[in-house]
Amino acid sequence: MWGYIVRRLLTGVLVLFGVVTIVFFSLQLAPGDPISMLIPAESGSGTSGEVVAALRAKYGLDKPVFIQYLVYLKNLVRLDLGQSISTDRPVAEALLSRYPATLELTICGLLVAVLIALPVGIISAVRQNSVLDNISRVLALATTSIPSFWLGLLLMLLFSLQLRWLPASGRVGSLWSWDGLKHIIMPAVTLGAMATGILMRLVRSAMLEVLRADYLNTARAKGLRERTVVYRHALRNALIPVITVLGLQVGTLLGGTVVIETVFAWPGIGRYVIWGIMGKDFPVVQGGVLALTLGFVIVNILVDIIYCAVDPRVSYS
Amino acid sequence: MSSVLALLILFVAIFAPQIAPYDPSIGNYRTMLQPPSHAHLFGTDELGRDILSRVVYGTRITITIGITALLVGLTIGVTIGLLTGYFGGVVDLVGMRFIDILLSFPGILLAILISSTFGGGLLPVIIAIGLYSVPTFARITRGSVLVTREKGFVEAARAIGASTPRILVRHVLSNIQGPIVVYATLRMASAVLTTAFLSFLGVGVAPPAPEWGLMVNTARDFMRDAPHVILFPGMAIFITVLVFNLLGDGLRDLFDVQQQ
Repeated sequence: MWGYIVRRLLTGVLVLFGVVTIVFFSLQLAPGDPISMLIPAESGSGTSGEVVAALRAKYGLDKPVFIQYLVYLKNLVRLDLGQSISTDRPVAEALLSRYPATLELTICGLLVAVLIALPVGIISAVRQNSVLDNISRVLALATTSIPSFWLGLLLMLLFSLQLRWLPASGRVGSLWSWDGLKHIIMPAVTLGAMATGILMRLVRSAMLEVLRADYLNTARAKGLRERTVVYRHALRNALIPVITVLGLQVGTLLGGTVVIETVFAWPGIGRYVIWGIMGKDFPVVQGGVLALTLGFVIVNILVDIIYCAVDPRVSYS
Repeated sequence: MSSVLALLILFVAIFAPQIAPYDPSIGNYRTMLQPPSHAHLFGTDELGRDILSRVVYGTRITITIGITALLVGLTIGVTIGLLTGYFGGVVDLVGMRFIDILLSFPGILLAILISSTFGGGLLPVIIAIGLYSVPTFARITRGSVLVTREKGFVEAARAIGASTPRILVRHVLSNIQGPIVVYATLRMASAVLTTAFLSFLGVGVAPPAPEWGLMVNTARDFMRDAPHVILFPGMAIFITVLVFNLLGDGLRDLFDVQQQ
């Protein structure tokens, strides 16, 4: 098992190296110069060419691209993600201060998705072709099709602007305080909706497949209650494929934080990345994308390990 | 039903100038933020432009981006999938590791990165959404090729001396169309959503184009007093995505039955 974990970790490191390389070189293709965004030519500030040259030298932008890449890699090994060109603050520091907000939002979004998808998917499968099943299938299709930013704005319109029940934006205090909880409800529901439909459909189809299995007839023939048959025998086996997709959905949610954090002014990494893109702040974009991808890679490694632990038929080799 | 609706969306996109009651780019400060009425069925926006006309013209932008991006993703992804699946070995190893790296970008982050790299606008959005679809097209194609290349008819084509490109196109590709068509339809839904996401975030189609995501973004400051400004463009995205998702599901069921 340890050999497998080490192999998966090494693959994860390789993938992150690939991500860093792609992000670094694609940003070099971007039109415009970060320094010119900082000091617009038409600003009339009288900034001399020497000042611009000094700033370019300070951020290493005067060196050939490949050298910049090697320097970035060297610094990355020491967990130095560089300085933000706009704020002159270390990117790693800004990311660390924003990681809790993004993590909190992603976990709450995932919780919302699982808490809706699991019971609805199970009931839908157990009562196949009933009215409840049809309603849940429509709900699954609707949540897969609705643009999350629009859903977020509709919720904001209803619960903040009309009913005044929940705050429209921001993150205040701890998640465990009433105020903190009120602030995360709408962002988490909106983010969770992105994964709910897919999970709901998967739980339903996995349960349907398992419910037809012979061992469940045996369980029923033994005289077990239907509740025990469904929850103890069927659900445990149906959850195996769901775990894998849950891992992949974390990716969807992490990417989704970019949109949801923008809608609800949630001070996380997603919003930081968009801010970096708008200001052509390369170190911010590189650092932000890397931080979100790192989260996704770690979750996928954990899912692979859990998958093997849950299903004894899957070997670590 | 979903195919009829999809055709209707295509019809609206093609005949937008004939269907739209007003010019989508001309505003009127005297009719700003008017609620839906007989004169303006979907109301007007913050510049007094007719929202219905903008939604109708927006269909054209969305469908153009969706179809073109799909073709880009389909061409590159299917080619990578065909080559890696058929040749295996080093080609497969290198190609698939590259695809794995692209797949490790969470959600739409890759599309955001590509679109912002090329500076926003119609073409960058097409490239971004096209490249964003490449990994999954490549994976699906490769998976189908791995099964098909072992079939007797491919072996027979090889035995009679058919060239590799001919085997790939005439024998392998023609036999794996089903999953690719199904996925392409579902991907169209995803392309519509991604286009809206990118424009909403400000890294997609530039203003004043009547793109649905952009319309929601620019109008959200006014939604407290005039909720219709975000309602109709959002509804247009939702319905279009729903229709292509339904069509994809229907096609999948159809191909599943045929395979059985």
